[in-house]
Amino acid sequence: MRIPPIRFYRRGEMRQDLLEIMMLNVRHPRDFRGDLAAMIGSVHIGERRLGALMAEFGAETVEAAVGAILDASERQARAVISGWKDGVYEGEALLDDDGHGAEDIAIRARVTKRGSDLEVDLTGSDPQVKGFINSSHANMQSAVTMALAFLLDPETPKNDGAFRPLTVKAKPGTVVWANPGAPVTLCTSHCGQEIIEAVVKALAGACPERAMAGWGRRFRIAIKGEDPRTGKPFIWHMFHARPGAGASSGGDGWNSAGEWHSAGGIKFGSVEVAEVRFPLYFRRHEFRPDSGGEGQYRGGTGGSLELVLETETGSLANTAGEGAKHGACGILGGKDGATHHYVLKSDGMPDRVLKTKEEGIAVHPGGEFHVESGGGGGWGDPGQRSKQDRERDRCLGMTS
Amino acid sequence: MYVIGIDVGGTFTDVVAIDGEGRSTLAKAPTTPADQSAGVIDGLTRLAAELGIGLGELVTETERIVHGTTVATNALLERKGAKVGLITTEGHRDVLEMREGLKDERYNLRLPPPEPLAPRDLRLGVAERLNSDGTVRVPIDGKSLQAAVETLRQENVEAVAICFLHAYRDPGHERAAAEAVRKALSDAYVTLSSDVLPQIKEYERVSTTVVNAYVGPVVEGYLTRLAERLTDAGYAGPLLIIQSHGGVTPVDEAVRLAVGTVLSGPAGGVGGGLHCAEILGAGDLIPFDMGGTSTDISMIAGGEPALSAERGVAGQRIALPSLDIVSLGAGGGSVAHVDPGGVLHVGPESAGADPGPACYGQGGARPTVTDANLLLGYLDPENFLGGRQYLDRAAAATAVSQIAEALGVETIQAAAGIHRVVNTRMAEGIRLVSVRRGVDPRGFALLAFGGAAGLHVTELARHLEISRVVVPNVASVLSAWGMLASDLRVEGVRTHVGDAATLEAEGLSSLFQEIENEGRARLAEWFEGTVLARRAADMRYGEQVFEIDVPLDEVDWTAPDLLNQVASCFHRRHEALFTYALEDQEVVLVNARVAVTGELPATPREAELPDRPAAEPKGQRPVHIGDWQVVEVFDLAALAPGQAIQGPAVVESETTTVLLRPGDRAVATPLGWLDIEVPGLEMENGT
Repeated sequence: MRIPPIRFYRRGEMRQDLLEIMMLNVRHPRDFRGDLAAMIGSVHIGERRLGALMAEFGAETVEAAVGAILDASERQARAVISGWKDGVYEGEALLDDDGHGAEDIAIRARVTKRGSDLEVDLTGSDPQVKGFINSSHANMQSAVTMALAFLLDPETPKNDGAFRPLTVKAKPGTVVWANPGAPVTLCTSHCGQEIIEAVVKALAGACPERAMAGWGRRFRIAIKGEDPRTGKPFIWHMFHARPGAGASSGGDGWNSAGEWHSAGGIKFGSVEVAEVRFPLYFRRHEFRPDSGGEGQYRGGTGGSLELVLETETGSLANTAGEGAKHGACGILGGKDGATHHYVLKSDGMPDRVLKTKEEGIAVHPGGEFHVESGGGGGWGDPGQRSKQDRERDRCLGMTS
Repeated sequence: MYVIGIDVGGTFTDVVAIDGEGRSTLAKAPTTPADQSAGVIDGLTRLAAELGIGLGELVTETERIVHGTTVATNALLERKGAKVGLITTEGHRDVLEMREGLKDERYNLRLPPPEPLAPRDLRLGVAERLNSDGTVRVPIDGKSLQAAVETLRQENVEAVAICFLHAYRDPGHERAAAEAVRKALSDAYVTLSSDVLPQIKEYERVSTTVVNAYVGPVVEGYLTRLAERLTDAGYAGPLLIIQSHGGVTPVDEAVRLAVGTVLSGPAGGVGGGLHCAEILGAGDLIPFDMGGTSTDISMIAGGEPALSAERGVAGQRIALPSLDIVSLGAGGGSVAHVDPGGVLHVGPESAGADPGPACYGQGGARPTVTDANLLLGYLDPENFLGGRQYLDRAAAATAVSQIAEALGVETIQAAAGIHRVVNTRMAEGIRLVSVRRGVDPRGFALLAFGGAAGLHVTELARHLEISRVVVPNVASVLSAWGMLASDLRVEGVRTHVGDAATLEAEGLSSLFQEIENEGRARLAEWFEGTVLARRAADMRYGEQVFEIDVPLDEVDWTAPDLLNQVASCFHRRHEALFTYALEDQEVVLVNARVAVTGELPATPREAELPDRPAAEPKGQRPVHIGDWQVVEVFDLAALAPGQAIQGPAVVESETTTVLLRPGDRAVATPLGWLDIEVPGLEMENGT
């Protein structure tokens, strides 16, 4: 189902008919309603605060202040960008596949930096594909913006003003801007993350001390089955066994901090709570040694998870993600992080290495997932890594 | 007989004695960082001298000592705690360092990862496992346990934290491990997650337990030395330690739960706020303590301080209920600067005490809030801190003119800008403890503590539409009063994780009763007197991933519709916080909490000022409030009880200066405080 931007509230009243249509078309109507209520609640709080501002200062003053804030952010962003080396730079990032036969799908960024202006040209990217890794125009625009946000100063406000120095060029019918009707379900993760990677890789030539190595890619499992303790159906999405973060000029990448598009912003949640709520047993959930890309600064390690399904009836799993073939990119001489490696062990079936885009995987009661997630990319020449850092990694068991 | 309050600060140790008639006597001694107990004894000796008696006489005449300490806080901030080993469930030794996959400062991708308090090579897995229902899946393996203990022994760890998965259900495995550790490492400080925080969510539990191990030996060493020194001096009464939750406990308990003293210092200040609430007969107060480098803001609603379990100190997660104190890196010494985009900022950098603001003339050249306040005429250069610190107006003007040039405005406008920007940050801090927690601050009174607060509070009140501001007398005396009025307190928690629909009313009621009984039993070891218990729960909707704290004071625990009442408390609380409730959704109760308190004998009331004629202004001076105007200046110590002052005006004391803006009306209270009425917005526009 595709829903265009449309009014969900009219004169302060929620449109019940629309809600019912949407509830009928989602997998978990109750969760969906909870999510929606939370989003609407946050909008109401925003409305209240903005209303209070308007009441205190009047619309004119508020608007003028907003304009001044955006202008100030633009000045800050331009001050940062103008410190980078002028030139034309290129970066490429590859996706593993689209799940329908296409492989090594390329995002190509050509970035022109002149003065305090940046132009990102993605027109050289591969044509759109059959699988759901295509991007919509809005998502592509956001991904490029996110790449810039990561390269500016942390203190620069991340608002529209800060992004005024940026222009983005792309071609309809490519994987970064697919034509209407093409599947784009995964795009906020992939190819969103590869767009970030291509842009940052390109700009490594212009601002090496700011360009960080790639973060691990998202590869999730979802399991649908019946909880024998309650007889109720359940759906569980894996957020555990996070991949590692990319290294940077600031030091090693964070271990198991997750994917680039959320940059350490999503909790994986408690193992204890997961075991209470789902028929799951987490036998092991730790860092994965030797998974961080080598470099002067090492990429963060990925995670290692052994998960047992404590069901009494058959369950179905599916996967979505990337990074089983191409690991998170190393930068400025740093090595790529290890790739993901997920295996399903289920009684009476041979071990099965999971692909990143599978549906309808049968899992018997007692089936086990052995998940080894990828590490972050390394930064700089591995030969420059200090003896102490290497010794420390060995001592802590982060490398063997 | 005396009661004594001791507050150890960064620079000074304040010691206050209150006698049977409510008279207070104050002494100050330099803080001795290497061993704070030396400074405490020094302070007590000076206090005795103030009273004209010897130390021995003072302590034998003292029935109670209450102490706020920063030993645990400093150990965390300066990373000077114990060498900690962690024994945990095999296959799960990285919970502490994974931090649930969260990274601070999302847009600071070059931020290096923090060092965990227990490094990976000292985090040892032991073969054992409980199921989520508390049954044993893997019995604890003696060999694997011995191997871990042996490693920790060889590494000479000073403290051992033990945290197994689902140990909140059954402490058996943790206790077995503790026994093995104590046998092999007889000197180590040993702490169990099932003791420290028996509740679900392994990251919060392991982190809190590891922090306890990290600060435990430091707190133990300090309090043991202090208790010995007091005993040597002849003291035989109780030594009570302020906890992060605002209550007090005896030394043994403060050592067992050392992590509970991490906010002990600022908690004394909140105690001072509670004491004010009682004197003012106002239950809703926002204590606002603005010093040189930072500002602490907390909240008292209905006479109760707000607690939060969402705290961290120095980047370490501590999930014990603690006073909800927001610390801002902004104060009188905060430095102003203009960013590359041309926007004026104040703080977080501070000029500190050395070199201090430019106007101190000690070599500081950068413009601070105090420099701006001086240029605006709010401070008297001859009479700052009772004349103990001369302020150099020319130096302040030179410093602030850098800002004026960068902004392209006059120096006085730049000074007004600095004053406004810092006020905006402070107002945001007050919103953090109020609006963000679902509480409307407009009905609250703002309580101004700290030397720098008086010049800012009346403007903050306008930002927040608060109509009452109170400026009490000396803050350290107030903190002491507050500490001495704090109750003994024990917090109990038990995880239940039950759907409200499948829960039996009887089961729920007896769960709370059990926790309450345990708390009462622990309190009974130290105390005979009136004991109060308050119940609350952490609850969520079925599919939510976080819980909210729901007070259950209104619930009738014997009523047949008990479960409905509990659910309805949750719906109402959720609506207050997030603007909506989902009445038809499943409600889950995760943790049951009971706070058990024992009321200590009340200290006598402070003595009131004598009646005297209204004081005349001691002078006049021009101040800049929108524009220059000449206002009258009063001496706070000279005011008669009930005397009213109409703003604009300035009121000075030895420790603070208060700016009354146009429309403000201040009245001196019987204790010599200022009680200020701040007009609403419309009124202000009319003046």
